[in-house]
Amino acid sequence: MNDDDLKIIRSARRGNEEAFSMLVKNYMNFVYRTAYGVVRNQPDAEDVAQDSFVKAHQALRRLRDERTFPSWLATITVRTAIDYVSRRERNQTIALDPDRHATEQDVHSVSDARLDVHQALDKLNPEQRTILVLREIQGFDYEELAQILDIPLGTVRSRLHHARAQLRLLLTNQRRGN
Amino acid sequence: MDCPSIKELLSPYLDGELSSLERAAVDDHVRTCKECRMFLVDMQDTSRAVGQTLQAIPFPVDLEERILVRLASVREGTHMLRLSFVFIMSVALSASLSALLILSPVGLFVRALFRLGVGVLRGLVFFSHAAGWLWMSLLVIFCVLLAGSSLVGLSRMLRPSKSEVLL
Repeated sequence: MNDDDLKIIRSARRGNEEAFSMLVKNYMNFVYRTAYGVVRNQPDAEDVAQDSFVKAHQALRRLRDERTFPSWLATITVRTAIDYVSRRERNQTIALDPDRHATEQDVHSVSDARLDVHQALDKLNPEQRTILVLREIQGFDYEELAQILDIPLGTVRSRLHHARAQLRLLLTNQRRGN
Repeated sequence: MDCPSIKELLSPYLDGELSSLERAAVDDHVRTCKECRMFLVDMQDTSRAVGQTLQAIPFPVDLEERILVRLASVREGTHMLRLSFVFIMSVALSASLSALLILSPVGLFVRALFRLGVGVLRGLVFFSHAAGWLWMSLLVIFCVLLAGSSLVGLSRMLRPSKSEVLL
C-alpha cells in the first residue's frame, strides 16, 4: 500500500464519502473475486460484494490501523460469503451457477483446464475454498490468513496443504475420467 | 525425513513459509526423491491453475454503480433514523421542560394567568348571552375604534416634529 492509498483510507475513516467511493473503485475487484471464490456463483457474489462494502462503510471508523485495511476488508468479505453459503445450504438452493457453465461450454471462452479447476473447486468445502482464494488470488501470507480466518498458524498451514492436495487429486481424477 | 512428512511441508515450501532448517530438509529430499519432486510440481501447477482460473472470472460491469447506489440508500436510511431520533428527543425535551415549568414556582404564576384568561373568556361568553349579539357587536366595534385611534395618536406622538423657519 502506498501513501495515497493510506490517505484515501484515512479520509474515508473521517467520513469523506468521495474517499469511500474511491475505496469501492479500488477494492471491488478484490472483494468480488474473493466472494466468488467462496460462494461460486455470480448473483451471490454480487450480493456479498454489496453487503461487504456496506458493512465496511459502517465499521470503518473502528479500524485502528489503515495499513490493515486489505486484510480487514477480506475478513468482512469472507465472513459474509460464508454466511451466504451456510444460508444457502440451509435453504438448499442451487449451489452452482448454471449460466456460468452454459456460457463456458457454448462459447469455449474458458479452456478445458479452467473448467476442470472450476468443477474441482466446487467440490471443496467452503473453508478450503476460502483459504485457497485468499492465498492464490490475494497473496496473503500465513500470518495474515491466520488473522483473517481467526485460526492458528498451524491450522493455516495444514488447511492450505489439504486444500491443494484435495484439489490436485480431484483434477487428476477428472482428467483420467475425461 | 520420510515422504509423508515432506509432503506435508511442500505447500508452505511453495509459499516461502518454511524455516531455513525445514527448507533445507525439503530441498535435500526432493533432490533425491522423484515421487516427492513430481508431487511438488503438481502442487505448483495446481496453485498456478487456481490463481489463473479465479483471475479470469468475468467482472460484472455495473457492479460499482450498484454498490454506490446501495451505499447511498443505506446512508439515506441512517440519516432518516437520525432525524427521527432528533425529533423524538426534541419533543421529549419540550414536554419535560413544559412539565418542569408548570410544576415549578414560575408555573404557579403561569397557572394563575391561564385561569385569568379562562375567566375573561367565560365572562365574555356570559356577557354575549346576557346582552345579546347586537350589543356585543357594538362593543367590539367600539373597542376596534378605540384601539385604532390610540395607535394613530401614538404614531403621531412618536413622529419627529418638523419645524421650518422660512426666511
